[in-house]
Amino acid sequence: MLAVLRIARRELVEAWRSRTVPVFGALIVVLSLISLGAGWTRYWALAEDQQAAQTEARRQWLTQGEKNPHGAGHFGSFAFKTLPPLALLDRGLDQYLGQWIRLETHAQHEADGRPAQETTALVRFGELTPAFLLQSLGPLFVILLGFGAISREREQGTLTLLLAQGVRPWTVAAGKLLGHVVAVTPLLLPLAVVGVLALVHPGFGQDAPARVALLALAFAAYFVAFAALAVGVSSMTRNSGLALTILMTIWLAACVLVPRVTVLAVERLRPLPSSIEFLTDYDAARGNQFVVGWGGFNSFNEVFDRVQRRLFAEYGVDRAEALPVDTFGYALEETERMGQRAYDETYGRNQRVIEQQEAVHRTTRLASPLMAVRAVTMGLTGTGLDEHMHFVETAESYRRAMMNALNMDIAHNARDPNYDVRLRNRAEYVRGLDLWERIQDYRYTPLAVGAVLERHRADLLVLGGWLCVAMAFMTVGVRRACRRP
Amino acid sequence: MWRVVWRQDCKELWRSRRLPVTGVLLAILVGLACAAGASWVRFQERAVGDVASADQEIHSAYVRESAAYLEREGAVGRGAPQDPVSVYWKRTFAWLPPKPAAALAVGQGDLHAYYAAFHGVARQVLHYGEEIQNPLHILIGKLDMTFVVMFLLPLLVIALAYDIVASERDAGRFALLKAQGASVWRLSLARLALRYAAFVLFLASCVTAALEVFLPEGALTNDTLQFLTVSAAYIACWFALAVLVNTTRASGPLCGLALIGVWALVVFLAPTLLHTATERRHPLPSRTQQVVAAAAFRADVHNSRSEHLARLLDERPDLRAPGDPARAGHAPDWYPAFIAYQVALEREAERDEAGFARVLDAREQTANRWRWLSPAIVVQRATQRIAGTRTQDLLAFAADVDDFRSAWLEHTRGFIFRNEYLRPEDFEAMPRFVPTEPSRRAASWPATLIDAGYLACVAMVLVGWSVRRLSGS
Repeated sequence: MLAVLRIARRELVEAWRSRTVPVFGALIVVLSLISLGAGWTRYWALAEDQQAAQTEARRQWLTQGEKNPHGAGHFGSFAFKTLPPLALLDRGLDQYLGQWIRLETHAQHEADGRPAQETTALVRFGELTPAFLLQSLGPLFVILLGFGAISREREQGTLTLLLAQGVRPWTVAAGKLLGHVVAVTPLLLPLAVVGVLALVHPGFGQDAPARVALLALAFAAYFVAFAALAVGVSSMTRNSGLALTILMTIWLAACVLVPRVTVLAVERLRPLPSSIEFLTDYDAARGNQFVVGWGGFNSFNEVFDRVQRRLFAEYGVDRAEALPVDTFGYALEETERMGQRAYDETYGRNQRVIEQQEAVHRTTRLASPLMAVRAVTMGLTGTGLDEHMHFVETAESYRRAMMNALNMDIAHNARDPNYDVRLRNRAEYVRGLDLWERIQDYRYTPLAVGAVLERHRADLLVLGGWLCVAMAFMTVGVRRACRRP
Repeated sequence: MWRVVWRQDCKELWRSRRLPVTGVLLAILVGLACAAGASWVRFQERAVGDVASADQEIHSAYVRESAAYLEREGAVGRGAPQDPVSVYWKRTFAWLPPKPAAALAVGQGDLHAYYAAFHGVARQVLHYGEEIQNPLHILIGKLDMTFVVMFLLPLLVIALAYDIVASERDAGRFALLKAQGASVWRLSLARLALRYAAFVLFLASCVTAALEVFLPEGALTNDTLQFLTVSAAYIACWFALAVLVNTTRASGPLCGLALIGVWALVVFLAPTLLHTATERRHPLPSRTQQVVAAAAFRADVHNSRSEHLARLLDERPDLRAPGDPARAGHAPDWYPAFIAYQVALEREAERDEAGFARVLDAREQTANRWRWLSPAIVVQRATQRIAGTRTQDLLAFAADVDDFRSAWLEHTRGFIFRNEYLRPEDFEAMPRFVPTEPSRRAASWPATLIDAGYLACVAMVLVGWSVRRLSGS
């Protein structure tokens, strides 16, 4: 044990003396902390903004005055996505996803307001966030620390000396790895800062400390895997230059090339439809109702007649005056359901393709631990696609419930037996605050940390797998190097 | 002497396997990137083709069904295709065909719309005309030539040239060379010239061959030549930098390490720092506040439609003109007020958007002004400009769509105010979108030469500095 600590201490001293390594490491830490500070101010400004917008949308809904409930459905409201506090660690996909959804009748709107569309092309180089620095440059730092761990000892002839003093191969490996792990620990400082904030600041959710702890574990596994890999490669090569070349190639392949090649492969294997193909499918699914020019109102007339016939049969009557309910309300609900079925069908198809794409991505994460740790980071910080889809689904569920409440109010309270849909001579039926208040405000609840872990189980396994394989590789490599110093 | 140096250099690079490995990697990367880029351009072309067909089909269907309706019914009734309200709901498209050079630089083409759909009631029908993309793919980015040039080619250059001078020092041949009166800087320059020329020529051949296979119309074009010019200048910077780093007393591996550090700075850190600084310097107004304010404005205008209609009719007395009773349509009485309401919303939206556009413009100008900080940023902006895939290009298309939509609305709204149905000649006169063909959007050489010139100057300064250091050593 003492030998392990001595070797680790020597690694730390060597790293410190090299100057390049501590400077690079310090740069990563400083930039991470700066980006954390910038993220902090940005996050609270955005969170306040979103909260104010949701409150204002609610106020507008309540003060819209008296009108027909269908008019209120057209007036509509908004669902704003709540930015999770841990987004100050990683903006994830947030830049490329809409931030609010318009909620109204007859239409399921897309999430709108993608921040990346309102910035320059520099965004494509990456966002300066702690997660970006740790995911992309962290492994580079680990490689610079460890590429000469064994090969340099061999070049300088000190490996033979070490072994001659009775130091065992596993002691060498453990000592080298421990030294590198200790040297890398300062990189996790931003996570520690956020962890403390999560414990003391009331604005963070209850599960924020657990999420930060899990993030720290994920990054620790990520860095230890690269550290073990560096020591392993260093022990397998005759000189440090070759070790550095091999490690750089691995880093480049795993962290830069594999993600992009994966995108190319996924888009070939599981392509999404173009927007125009989707639009055509959606129109067909809706029976071109209310969409293409003429026929819109005629289509509604057909629905009205069909619903009326159904109501007549249900209530055993043969004229509108005898119905205890209002056909118009039910017809509106029927058209709403038709739209929803079309939406579920066409969006559901897209969603299945994206899930198939994600399945391919999960497989290729075996070749790229960066993609695995990125997926876990986005999941735990609430900035991934799962969280966004959860927002879209809850907003759509809320919209459907809202429109159902409005349509059923017309159906049950607005009986106008003299209404002829062709003459459009409806007597005005109005409601006010009592109905608007009954519809609850939209409040978004993020995914629980348990659900996040469940969805990213495969990614956590990949990270664990990389760690185990790297450790095994390091052990074999060091043993071999010690047998033939 | 130079022939001797070149022959020796080739032998050494071949023996160390660096030359064949770098060559193979380069060919593979270029092949993959061109294939990916060509695939994206073909996808865009198909989508744009579908859009153009849909636009033509819908227009033809309206004309055809109008005639059929009249023949069948004898008169134009409510809901007839030629009724002005029906025409107001006619979906119309606008589109921007991609340039072949977009295969080399996908740029912002996967983030901004290159086609749009609208009708009288809404600019966006369901989709905002943007391509359906997995957001994870947008975050990761496409494997295009711009990515290969900016990120990966410098690493191949480092692999070839990290010990371009240090190898002599490490092998102990420096003193021998000096003793024989050989000029170290001439030797270094000779090596630099050979490696650079071979690299660039091989790159140009690979790109041309790959485009010939995957996108023949993009192979030997003006735009491709400009792309290669910028790339060659960028690669020159990296070779020059490798020589400069080698003039320190560091060993080959240490020079490689330093070059990798500079690479991380140039392609990762500097651009992300500039991006962060640009955003902080020019914060956008709040979109969420704008959205709720627009909703409140909508509610106000809805409650005062008659006033807005009166105001509109005062501004546009031509809209008061009575229609031809022989062509009476079935626009509801409230429709002109509805249009006045829309006009008010459009004007308010224009004012809001102008505010956002000003900030975005300021961000672009700042990014442009400071692009000299990093050669990678210069390459990104230059290649996207050549390919027509910059944010500005796509926003210019969005502005064209707005202009076209205004003209279309002007045409169709007139029929509603006059309450006249459309005759075949009115459909004929309806504004139709005419896309700007790629051949008319060729990139300009002067702008390319400025960017390439800057990179070449950086390379020459670095080489000059290296020569000075080597002459003095």
